[in-house]
Amino acid sequence: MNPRTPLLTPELLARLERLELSVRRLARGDPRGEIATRQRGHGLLFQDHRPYVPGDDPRLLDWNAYLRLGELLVREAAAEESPRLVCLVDVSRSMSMHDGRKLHFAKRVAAALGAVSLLRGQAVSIAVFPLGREPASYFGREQLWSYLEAVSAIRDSEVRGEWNSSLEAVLRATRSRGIACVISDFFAEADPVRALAQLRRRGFSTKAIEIIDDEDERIAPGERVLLRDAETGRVRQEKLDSASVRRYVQLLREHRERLQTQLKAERIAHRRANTTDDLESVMVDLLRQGTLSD
Amino acid sequence: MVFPFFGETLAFAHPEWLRALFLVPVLLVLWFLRRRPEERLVPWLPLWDRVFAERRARSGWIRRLLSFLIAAVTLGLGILIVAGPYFARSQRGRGDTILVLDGRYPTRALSSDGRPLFEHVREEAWALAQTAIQDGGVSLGILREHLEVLSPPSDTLVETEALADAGAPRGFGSLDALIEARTLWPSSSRVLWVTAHSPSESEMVALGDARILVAGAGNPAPQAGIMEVTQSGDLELTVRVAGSVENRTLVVGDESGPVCKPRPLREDPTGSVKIALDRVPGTLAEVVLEPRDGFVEDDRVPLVWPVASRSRVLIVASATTPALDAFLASVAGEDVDIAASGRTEANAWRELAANYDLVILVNQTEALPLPAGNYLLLGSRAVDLPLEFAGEEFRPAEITEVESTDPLVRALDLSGIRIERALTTRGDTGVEVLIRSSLGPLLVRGTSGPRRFLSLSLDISTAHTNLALLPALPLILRAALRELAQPPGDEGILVHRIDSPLPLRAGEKGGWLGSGDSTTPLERDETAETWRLPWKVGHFTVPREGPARRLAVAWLDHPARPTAQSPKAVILPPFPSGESRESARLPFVASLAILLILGWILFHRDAID
Repeated sequence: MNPRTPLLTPELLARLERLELSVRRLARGDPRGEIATRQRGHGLLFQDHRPYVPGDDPRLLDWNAYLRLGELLVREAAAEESPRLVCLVDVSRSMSMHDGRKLHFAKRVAAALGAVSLLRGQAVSIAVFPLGREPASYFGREQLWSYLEAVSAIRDSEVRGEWNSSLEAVLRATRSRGIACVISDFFAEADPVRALAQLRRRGFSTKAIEIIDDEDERIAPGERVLLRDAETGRVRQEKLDSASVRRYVQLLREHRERLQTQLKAERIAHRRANTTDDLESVMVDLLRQGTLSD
Repeated sequence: MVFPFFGETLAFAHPEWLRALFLVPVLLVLWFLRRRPEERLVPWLPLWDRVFAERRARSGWIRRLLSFLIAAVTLGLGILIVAGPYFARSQRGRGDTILVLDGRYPTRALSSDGRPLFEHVREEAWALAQTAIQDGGVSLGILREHLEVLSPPSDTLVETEALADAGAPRGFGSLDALIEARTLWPSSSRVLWVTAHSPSESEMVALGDARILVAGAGNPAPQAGIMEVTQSGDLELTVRVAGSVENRTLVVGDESGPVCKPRPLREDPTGSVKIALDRVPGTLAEVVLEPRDGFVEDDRVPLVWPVASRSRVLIVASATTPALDAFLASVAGEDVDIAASGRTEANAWRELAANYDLVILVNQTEALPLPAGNYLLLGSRAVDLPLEFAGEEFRPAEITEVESTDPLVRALDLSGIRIERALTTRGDTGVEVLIRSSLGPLLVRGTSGPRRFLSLSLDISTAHTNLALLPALPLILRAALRELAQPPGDEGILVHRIDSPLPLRAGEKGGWLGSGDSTTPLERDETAETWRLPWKVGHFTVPREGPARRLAVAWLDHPARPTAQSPKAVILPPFPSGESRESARLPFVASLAILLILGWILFHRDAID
């Protein structure tokens, strides 16, 4: 994938629009209030109880349940608002490796997801992490090109940051809950699964889109190799023999499998996309998985 | 290499190490040309950390063992370098050798092979020098009268230069000179005394204390020597011989030939034999030990056969002296040389006294000092004598006491003596009173400076005493004549030993001896009024006015007489072996450097911790 490839070609945009329509037929009704979300909110339909926590609206206390059970429970109703798509793009240095192919592919995915959402009439926010700016929000078909420009303007970051705090900061600026698509290679010092689980617990329908590149597995053996961590800049000089390289590839795959397993355990949707994959097929899979559904 | 350093001078004990400074720019160049590692950007280094951790875990024990070994060996090498290792190589000890040849007179003796012992000494010294020169310098010396240098210390000796001109043995230098010189020579040097004669036990101890080795050379031939010759009868000699007397014979001869039969010698603990002479030997008599052996110096002893000496007597009398004349006539052939004797008046005898062995003063009452000489005072007075005469008058006297222990009077019968005229005398000190009378000491022996005297202070004329008629008078006169006219203690000496003292008799002159037509100078003995006989064997005459005294000089117990086998040949002891030290730091430093480089490489290859 050439990083200079446009994020979305008109043809691809047209196909995505058709794809969005075909997928929408499978859903029901108007987008606003039509799309059932998993977001709990202040709607009319009771969904569940949850323990009271300080700060909750006292009007939502279920006194009957209190009388029966002796516990303060808050009635939660399904939100009846249109879900907001928040695209969180990892701009760390590891994403910029190999001529920035992973970052470019991540931007294309974010652009495609955002485009589909905007075409649906959903609000879309785009943010980068770690330590990104406040997310910029877009709504409606009219702002599609603005959104695409914003995505196109994403650059890799020199700043190091910790996943949890970075995602927290981004989501604090997001007024409403929605769908959080985290697009990253998930190479991080902190546990990214934990950060994503925290997102989900904060009410976001969290999706993980893992961008991989075959070049990550390709490293030539050498007598004196100075390995530099793309994320932290830490270096290590070692002799790289073939066995070590093989073991590295094995560990890398194990790492990815473990990530997938952990995300599944946290009920976080996961889709792995290779930079060499066809974006359209990736989007088909994502939409079929209900990535844009709460 | 010296550098100024803050006003002082900085120098280096081992400037050769400064050459290592050239390594500095080389190291800099190598540093800039070093191969840099190939940098690879990886998305997530913790994965690689796991890879390397697993790799290390697989080779953990090898890694730890290798790390420990390198650390231990590095520490060990460091300790060894600090301890200053060096290679100790033993080196053959080197030093100077001083060979001192025994070139004294005794080495003239012949060895069993007929050659002089000195030749053996020289050969042994040369052989030792050839061996010793391999260990260092060799110098040669020789002891004769004194210690002399033959060749200074040298690493290349030439025999013709060093020993050929050594000269003939001579002198009787003492080993003390060698022992004293040893203190001046370096203590590290070897000193060998090359001799043909075994030193005495005390000399061996002294040489050992002075760390002087004794090297023997040659083997003296069996020999014997004449130790002593004495007269044991009118025509009999006693000769003492020491040494190997087997097949040896003693012969006494003179200018006319043998004066006895050859006397074969036998082993005898006393070594003395008596030889009966056929006749009185002549003037060139000598005792010869035949046949001659390897040391001939003591095989021949000249003799002077004692001839009865006859004294020249001067009688000073104013009247006839029949009793005295009768006595002189009786001893004329034996004790008194009548022809050389004389008689004079009282006024002229002082000028003549020096020509006579004895002056007899008869009834000379005028007290005058006596010239040097020997005097018999018969009823005479004199001054400056320990004996004091109280007056000029003669008075009767009686013998009151006789010194019975003195040989001159102890055998005399003086009981019936009558004395009508005697002088009154006093004085007990400085004289020997042999007969004491009622008027004082009657017969007195004494000495006063160059004057020796006997005084019989009575008138011996028959008119005033019966002494002249008694046998006692001739006996007294004869004893007085022999006592005064011959020097005491020189009776019967046939031969004198070389370098022995020579007391002079009255009228004899010291300083030299006559020997045929030549003379031999003498040295005055420093401790006595005597002269030292020369180091020369032969017949000599002592100069004096009138007939000269003849005497013979011989070695008699020659100091150089080889009496023992020479010491064994010596093997040169080696000098203490030295030890050269060569620093062994360099190999250790190199090993340490190699180890450090190896450790650095292994560390950077993650082979060790």
